[in-house]
Amino acid sequence: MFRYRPEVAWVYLFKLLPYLKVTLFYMAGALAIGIVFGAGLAMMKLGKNRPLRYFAVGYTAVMRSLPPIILIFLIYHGVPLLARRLWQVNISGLDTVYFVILALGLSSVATLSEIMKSAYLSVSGGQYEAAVSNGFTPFQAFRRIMFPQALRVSIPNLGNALVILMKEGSLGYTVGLIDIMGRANLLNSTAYGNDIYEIFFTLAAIYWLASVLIDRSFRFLENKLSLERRIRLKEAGLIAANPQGGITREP
Amino acid sequence: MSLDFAFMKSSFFLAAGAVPLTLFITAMTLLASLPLAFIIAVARSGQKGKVLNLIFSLYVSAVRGTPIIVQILIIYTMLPDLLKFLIEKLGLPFDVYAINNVFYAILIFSFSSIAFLSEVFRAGLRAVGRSQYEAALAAGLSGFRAYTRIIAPQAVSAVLPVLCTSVNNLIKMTSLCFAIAVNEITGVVRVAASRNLHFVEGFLIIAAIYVLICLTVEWGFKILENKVRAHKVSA
Repeated sequence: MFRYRPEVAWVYLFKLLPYLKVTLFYMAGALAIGIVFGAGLAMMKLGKNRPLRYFAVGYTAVMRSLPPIILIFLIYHGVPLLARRLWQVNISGLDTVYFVILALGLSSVATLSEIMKSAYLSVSGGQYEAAVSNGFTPFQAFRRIMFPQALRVSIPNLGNALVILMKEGSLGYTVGLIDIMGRANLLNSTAYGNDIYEIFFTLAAIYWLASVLIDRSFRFLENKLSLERRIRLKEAGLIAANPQGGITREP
Repeated sequence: MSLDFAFMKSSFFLAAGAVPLTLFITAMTLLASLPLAFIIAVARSGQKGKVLNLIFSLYVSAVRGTPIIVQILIIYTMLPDLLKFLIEKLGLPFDVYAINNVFYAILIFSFSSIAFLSEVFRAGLRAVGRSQYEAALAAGLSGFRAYTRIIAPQAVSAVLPVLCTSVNNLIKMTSLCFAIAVNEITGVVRVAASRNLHFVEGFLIIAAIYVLICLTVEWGFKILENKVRAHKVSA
């Protein structure tokens, strides 16, 4: 029957919390992979080279349809096999967390490339042309005009992607990763399932809180960037802030 | 060491045999959660009901903020006890432990899809706008008819692309049924692969099958989108 003892849950909270480090570690690793290679993939999608574009679109379609658990399993069992076969190296001793990072990274490359692509497309192409005709080099035009605007547009999606990464990474426990989920699973079997509610409600609360924190901080970032931009533009006399909070251009 | 093609072939047939179960779970979940999610979205779009709004926004945030595997583990442990309690209270001649796990899977996935889908429909309702409803009432339609004939078709067609993503996410979610011993695609192949340790072969096959299913769903939604383009409002 249902039984929940807060004092027991409290004890488990402190047994679980240290393992949040592992969760944050693979989130950061996967995000780094996603940003670096996602930018490349986004460039392929926006570029003119047809084979590269098809490759990028195909890769994204496959990653979008793969359940995260399948990906994690494939990487965890497949990469050591591949390494042994291609380079005769034995990497099965490598910490599980790196396999999880690779798996999550592969899928976040696809997600982030989509986010970057749509953010880039949301900034009108006229801006780029205007910058270039004002004497910016293409790189400067991207770096100073397109990128700051695209970044702001992409912030809510980035927060969302991070929450999804956190949740998908919890499946790493199926290949023996001891992150916060793996630890909870371990504690549960140690207690023979007697404290299951205390453990898993605490775990759920930690995840919930973490995702709310991520959401809030990205919303804060979004507001801050837009506000700063507005103030700077206002000081330069380029805009007048309208009462609805949007930005209107003065003729 | 190379891939075991014989095992790949056998696991393909194993997985293909389990496809109907995956699709059944997906379809039943959608059948249960689409109407409920729409009703919740409509209820939340009204002006009144601050408490209702708070409860549902907490529910959505909790579902969105926790991994599905955690939801599965919690609900799967809680539900039988809860059902047993209810059945004993009502005095029904019914054995809780005889309930198939597929039923639990559908309940759990509905619990999470309702949250996501209600958000999707809320966006759709916002896209249609209040004026359409008022115009429908002014034209003499009843409130119910205004929703079924005017609002719902427009709202749904406005969010078809997002709906497609949600359906695909649901299909991917069903791969977690292994946690409650339901033998859908992932479950059967996982068991077969653990017998001879040919995980890579087995999971390559499953990956291909999921990609095939999801791309088919996307293609179906593309066709649907083209069909309903006529009365589309932009979301």
